[in-house]
Amino acid sequence: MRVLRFVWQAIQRDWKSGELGVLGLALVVAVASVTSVGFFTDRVSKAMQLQASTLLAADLLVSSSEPIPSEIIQKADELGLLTAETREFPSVIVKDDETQLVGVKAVSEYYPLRGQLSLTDQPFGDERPAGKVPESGNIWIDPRLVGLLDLTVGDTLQLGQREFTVSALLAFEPDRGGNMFSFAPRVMFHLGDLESTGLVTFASRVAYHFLLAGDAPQLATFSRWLEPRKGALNVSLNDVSNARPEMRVALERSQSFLGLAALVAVILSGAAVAVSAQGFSTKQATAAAVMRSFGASRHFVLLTVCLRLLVIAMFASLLGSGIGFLVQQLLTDMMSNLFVMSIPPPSLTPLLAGLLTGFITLVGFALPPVVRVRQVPVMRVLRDDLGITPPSAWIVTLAVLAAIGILMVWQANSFVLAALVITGSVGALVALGITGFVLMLLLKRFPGSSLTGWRFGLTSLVRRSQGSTLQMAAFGLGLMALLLLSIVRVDVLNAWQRELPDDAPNVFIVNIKPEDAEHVKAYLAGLGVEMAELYPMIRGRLVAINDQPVAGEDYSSDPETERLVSREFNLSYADKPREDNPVIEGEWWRGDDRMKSLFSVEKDIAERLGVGLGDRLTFRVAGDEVSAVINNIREVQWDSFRVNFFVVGTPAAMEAYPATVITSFYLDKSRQGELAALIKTFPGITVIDVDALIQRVKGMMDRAASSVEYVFLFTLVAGIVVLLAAVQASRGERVKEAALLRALGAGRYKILQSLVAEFALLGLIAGLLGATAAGGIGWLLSDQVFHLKYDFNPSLWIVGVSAGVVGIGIAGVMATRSVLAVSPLQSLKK
Amino acid sequence: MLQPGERITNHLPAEAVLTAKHVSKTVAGPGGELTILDCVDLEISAGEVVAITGPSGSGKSTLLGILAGLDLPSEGAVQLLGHALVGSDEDERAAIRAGKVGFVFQSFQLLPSFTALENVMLPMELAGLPNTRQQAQDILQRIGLMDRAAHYPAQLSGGEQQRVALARAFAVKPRILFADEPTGNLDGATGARVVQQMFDLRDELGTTLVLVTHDAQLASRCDKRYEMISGRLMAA
Repeated sequence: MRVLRFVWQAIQRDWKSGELGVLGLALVVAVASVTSVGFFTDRVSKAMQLQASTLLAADLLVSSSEPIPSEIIQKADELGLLTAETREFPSVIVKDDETQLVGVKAVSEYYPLRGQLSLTDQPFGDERPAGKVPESGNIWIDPRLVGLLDLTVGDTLQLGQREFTVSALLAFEPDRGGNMFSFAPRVMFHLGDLESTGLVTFASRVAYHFLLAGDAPQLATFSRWLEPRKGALNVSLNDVSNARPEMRVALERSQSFLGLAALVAVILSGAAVAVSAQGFSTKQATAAAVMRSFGASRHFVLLTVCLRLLVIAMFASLLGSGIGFLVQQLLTDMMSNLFVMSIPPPSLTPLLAGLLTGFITLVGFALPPVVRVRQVPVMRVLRDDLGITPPSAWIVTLAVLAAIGILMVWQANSFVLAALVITGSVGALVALGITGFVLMLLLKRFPGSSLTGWRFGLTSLVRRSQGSTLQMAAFGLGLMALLLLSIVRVDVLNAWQRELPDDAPNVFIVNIKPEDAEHVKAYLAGLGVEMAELYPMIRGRLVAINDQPVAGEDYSSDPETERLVSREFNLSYADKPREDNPVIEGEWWRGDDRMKSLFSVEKDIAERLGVGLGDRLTFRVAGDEVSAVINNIREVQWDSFRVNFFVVGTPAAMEAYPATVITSFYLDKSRQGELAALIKTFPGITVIDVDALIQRVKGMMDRAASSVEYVFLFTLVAGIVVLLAAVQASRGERVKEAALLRALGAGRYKILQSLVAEFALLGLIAGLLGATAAGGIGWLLSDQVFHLKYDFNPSLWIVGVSAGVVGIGIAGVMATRSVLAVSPLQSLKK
Repeated sequence: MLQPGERITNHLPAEAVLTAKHVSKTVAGPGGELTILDCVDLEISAGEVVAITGPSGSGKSTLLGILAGLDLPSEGAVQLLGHALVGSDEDERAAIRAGKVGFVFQSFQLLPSFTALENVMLPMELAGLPNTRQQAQDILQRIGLMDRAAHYPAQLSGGEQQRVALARAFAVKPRILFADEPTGNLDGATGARVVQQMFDLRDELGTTLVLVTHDAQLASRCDKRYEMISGRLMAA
């Protein structure tokens, strides 16, 4: 009780005197930045997840080859989830005795639960949102059928025993996913009409889909309930994370970017808290010695100091969380027009994260110097020179690393990202320490060193070498963060956006007969499409690995691999390697190797199948088995929208098998109508317009980039506050020193000169080091985390040094300029 | 609160409250071992007022620190209020001081974020005494600084700061009070006033006083005087 009363009184005193103001402010900034980033990324991620869920047309998708068991439907109803059903199967439509294989999709009311169907009246014509499902007796058809069967809106067609009226062309179907080249043109009608077609019988190959949407907790409950029952009920469960690979990549990358933004905020916060805590513990030394001379135990002294910090941290965290919430609200309002749908409200997790961040930051960054209070020699009451011994560098480093590590792994949710940022920070700190040491040695030899003016400023860095190094570290880290935000971020984002340029392929043509390939190419050249690359495509099912038979069920622990193995792969063959498919293991076939049966396998599928160089894969292609050894592993950018294959063979291995040709190219939307003539000339080909999909991916990238920019803007503000906090921490000492100089006769100009010189030099070194560290981290992040090519940007150093010299120079002088206004006597008396 | 003239009840005349036997202190210096205290023997009885004088650097403050249990000797034994200090750890020594030992320092050592009143309350709070505010106000009243109770040390003059320190030292009615150059930072007139108040309080409470001072006039008012010369203590 005595301790608590004492602590409470001490806190009241702290409040009145502003003793813990700087530390509290640093914590408020820390928590505010982490919580605002947390709340905001939580909401943005949710919005993006929602956006991505349009690809499934739902939040969750239950699929089966049999009717969906009633208990699943019942469970969804119980949980109050929105539901819809679709059934898909291949069939044939008839129009005036002409037939065409189609992919039938019967949809229930409310389909799609996420995203929207778009309709048009003529191929490549203006699109309009559907808003509902087809009415009974109506059918919506793929625009490709217009060319294939000479169908237009208003015509009738026969499907099974039922006649339908074409009421619209289906321009966009959100969940068109899966293998976009494998399915026949789509026809869609109301589920209620399905029975009357008489097409679904016991033996029919129907894919049953049950779509669900709703709030995250209910969805999670549903997933948890279904997951263990999937096998028994013979259904599979999909969510957004295993939707289209290009979307998944975009989502994962944007989350990594947002994670990085949070990490930078964490580092900045820690630096601010560490600087403030150092000052606090020094100020506490005398108080601790006096208290102990009056009989207080070390335990009591330590406990009271720690409890004070804890209470301050609690208040600061609550205040910071409140500010964080308000700031994210502002950010979300700014962002709301970027998202099609309203941004969902945040969960409470970031609030808890904010409170925990405050606590962890305090313990990691503030505790090591503060616990030294118990070691203050009590003789300090008699001898002022006996100060607080600084904590062991190892303990400080370990505590800081542990705190950063915990916060980072938690915030970024990625060990690699956390490890990289920690490595970068530690590397920067070591570099700062070494450079600081070298600088001190150099400055000591500075010729004609003087005690006034700018030379005084330079030598004062040496005299305060410990403090200077600490400040250099804080400024260096701050500048590093600012540079990471302002330059590296732009470079990395540009590198990302470069991957999907404006002229990314937006049209695919598949099913081109090899003998028509050159004609198609010539036709496309006539449309202004240059260098359309044509690739042979062979469909084959994986049947054995190293001569051991495999089946989809062997990969039941990984649904995506299970799906891949269960269906046919798109295989290709090539003589030469592709520039955009870098070989990362083994070598592309040359010379005699081209005559052998060899495979080149995409990296991710190799990992999923657990195969590597030297393993033998066997595919069943058109009734034959094609077997070859893996000769190299390639990396493929799935979000490039170019034609890519999981497995490419040597021509010797695959040339003999029946292939079709596939190509992809960019064609301006306004000219796509001209493709209709191509379809007329080569009726067998299938033209797939991926413009809508590509626009969606691009839109998502743009939104992710904007959200990251806004989040980084906030971190930038946090960085500036840290710089000011560091200047503030040494303000007292500087004011006293300047006052002494004035008392001894130095003019205001001389003092100003020395302050400018000191802070500018500090800024120069911090700028150089910050820029180097930011460049290094930028490269590491691009290369290791985002897998993007990063070009070093020389302006990093120019901006870093200029910002350091000007920014820290001005901030330092502004913070200490009061000495020029206050009388030296007043400054000295303090 | 004691009334002027009232004597303290725990005053035990003739009983030794502080003894030092063969106390030496050596520290490692750049040129080898440095002897600061050289076999010091001292015995102080309850209620005595003892002055230790000597030139700067002679080891006076080190001796004071060791006698008060703020530091330990390299050799020898110290007994304070019946407790052996050598062999006790820091916290045990702090517990011996709590509520029974007072200090006045040359540089006042008032806590800058505490008001005058709070500074006086501090040792009473640490000793767990009741009504600390009232008692602190009484003693500030007694030394004529009640109007400065809400002021912070930076707002007080040097003399006022030392008087607050004096009030703080006497607040717990200590059995023994150590003062290190109590007038060292004060001018003659202010120093004299502080000394007078210290003696008045001492007379009132019967506190044993151990003073380290340069001030010959102050030393002359003490019952016993010792002089430190190069780490050795001699009767003056």
